[in-house]
Amino acid sequence: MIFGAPKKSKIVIIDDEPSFLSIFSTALGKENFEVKTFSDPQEALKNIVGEKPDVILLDIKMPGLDGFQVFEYLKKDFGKNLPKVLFLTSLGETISGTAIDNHFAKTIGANGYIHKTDDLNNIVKKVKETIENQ
Amino acid sequence: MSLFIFSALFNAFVAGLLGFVVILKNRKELINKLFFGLSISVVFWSLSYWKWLSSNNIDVALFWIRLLSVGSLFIPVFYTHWILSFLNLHNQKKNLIRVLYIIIFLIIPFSFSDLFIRGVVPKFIFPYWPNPGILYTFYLIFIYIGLTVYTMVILLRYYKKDSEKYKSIQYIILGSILGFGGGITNFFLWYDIPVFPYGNILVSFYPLMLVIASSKYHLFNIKIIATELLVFLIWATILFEFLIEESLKGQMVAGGLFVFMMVAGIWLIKSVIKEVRQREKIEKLAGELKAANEKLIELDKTKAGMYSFVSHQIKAPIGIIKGFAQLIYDGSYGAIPEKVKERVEDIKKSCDRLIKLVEDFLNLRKIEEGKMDYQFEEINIVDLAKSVFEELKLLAEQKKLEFTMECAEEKITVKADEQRLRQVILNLIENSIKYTPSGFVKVELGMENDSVLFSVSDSGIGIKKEVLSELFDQFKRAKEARAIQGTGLGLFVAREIVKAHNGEIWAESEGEGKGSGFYVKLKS
Repeated sequence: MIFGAPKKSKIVIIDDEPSFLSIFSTALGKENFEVKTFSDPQEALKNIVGEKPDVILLDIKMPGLDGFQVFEYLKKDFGKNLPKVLFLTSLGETISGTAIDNHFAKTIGANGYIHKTDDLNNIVKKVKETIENQ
Repeated sequence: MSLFIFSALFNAFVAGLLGFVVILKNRKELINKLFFGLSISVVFWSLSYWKWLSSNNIDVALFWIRLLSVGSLFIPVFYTHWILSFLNLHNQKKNLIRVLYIIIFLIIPFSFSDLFIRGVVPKFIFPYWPNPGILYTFYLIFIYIGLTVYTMVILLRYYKKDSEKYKSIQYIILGSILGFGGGITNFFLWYDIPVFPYGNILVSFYPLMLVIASSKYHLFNIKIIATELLVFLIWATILFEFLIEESLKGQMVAGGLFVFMMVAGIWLIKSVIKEVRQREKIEKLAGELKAANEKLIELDKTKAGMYSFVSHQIKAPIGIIKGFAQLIYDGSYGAIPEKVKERVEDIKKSCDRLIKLVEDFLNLRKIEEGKMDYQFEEINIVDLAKSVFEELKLLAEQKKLEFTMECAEEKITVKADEQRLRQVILNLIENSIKYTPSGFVKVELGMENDSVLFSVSDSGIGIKKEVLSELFDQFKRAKEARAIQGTGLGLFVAREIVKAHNGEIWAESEGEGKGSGFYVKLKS
């Protein structure tokens, strides 16, 4: 191989629930993604820039720092090189009465959302589409 | 002269009437007893006033003036006592009240002496006008003026701090000004100051304002009192007519009219009392209703918080079970026997049903509260329908159904909330797959005039004609459909979402076993 193997896309998942981290990393790992997980948002913020992820899956409801606060720090830390960010939500979840949907995610500068209870095939598909729409 | 006689009689009539009405309302209340005392004092004073001015003999005039003075001694004291009771100061000021009554009873024996009235002399147009004794001046300064100023100071103090009674206090202050202002015009001539008692007529406002003030405070109801006053006035007029009528015929007419008005008047008073009582009851109920409503709002807030909690806390573990089940099913943790795979699939399906149930209830709550939020934007409904179709392909294949989609257009733009509309399309196609044991499910999308028509038709269990119209109501499911899992909320939620898009949703079926079709029409 003259050009070497194609670079694996790197996905960072931040979620305080270890079971979801295990499920998503297994499902995405099978699809040849490089996956790094963080169950502590503070810990994630310390290391994430060095990880150089292509996509960040970010849980909304977390103790301490919630997904939106983490997202604000990510915007500051990455500056112009902010990776794609998809929020992880439960359907029907709201933040101060506002539904978390594509419109909302895009308004605040993220790329979309994923329902954690959706089929894993659909979740993987959405991540792939997000990476492809570079 | 006749004006002053008239004003005296008028005051006696009004005060007497008010006094009796109030005491008959409630004989046990101290405040009513005091009002009655005040009214009787005014009546006593007024009638003596009338007799004095009508007299044509110096001794008779002096006699009535002395009697008048007894009445005038009591007026300021009863008035002060009434106000202190009204402001709930009765116990606090009981010593003052006691002293006032003692002073009055000490003065009374002297009212027939020169210490109180030195005699009568002609003054201006009045043939018999009294000259004051030393006790009379004491009464004027300390009882009449002193108590008026004292009560006024107390009233003004409570006017500022008693938010509940401030309106009533306004009336009392007004009544006091009119009564005091009117009454004081009587005193100038005693001291040879040429001011005539023109303000006398205002004295009747004194008790009248107290009645109004009390009625504002619901001690006696002004509407009832006004009706009673009117009825008594009519009775008095007719009775007067009867008494002065000379002919027998006239007396019979007046007498008959009096009896008739007696009955009609009592009926009128009773009706007004009934109406007032009903209104009071309604006001009380309205108050209770308001309190209950506030409690309900509070409960509703608690409920909303609970829903949000349930949404997160229940769905997270279900999502975890579903995720692991799917990974086991996919062989992510190693190959598994076919039988285990089937059971794991059952677990996944149950999780899907639970998730759907929670979502339906959350949507139902939002619809009921009118809080379903929509983000309308231009979307390509063809892409949306295709993606849902692809998502459900596997489900249809598992049931070995002929699952097809027809759409001649590449792009149809509609203004919609993508997430919500997706929910509707998903619900309709999923339902068709669920309720079709074999055969086909066909999804179609196209333009019809200016509208977009989306439809799902199937060869499923069909719908009875009588059920069709109720199909989109809450918890309505066709009896035949009950064998299949579902909440009966999906179509209701779908209808509400389509309504919010100004669209139409309906179902068609030839009957049981003849398949069905679901349609959504939206403006393009």
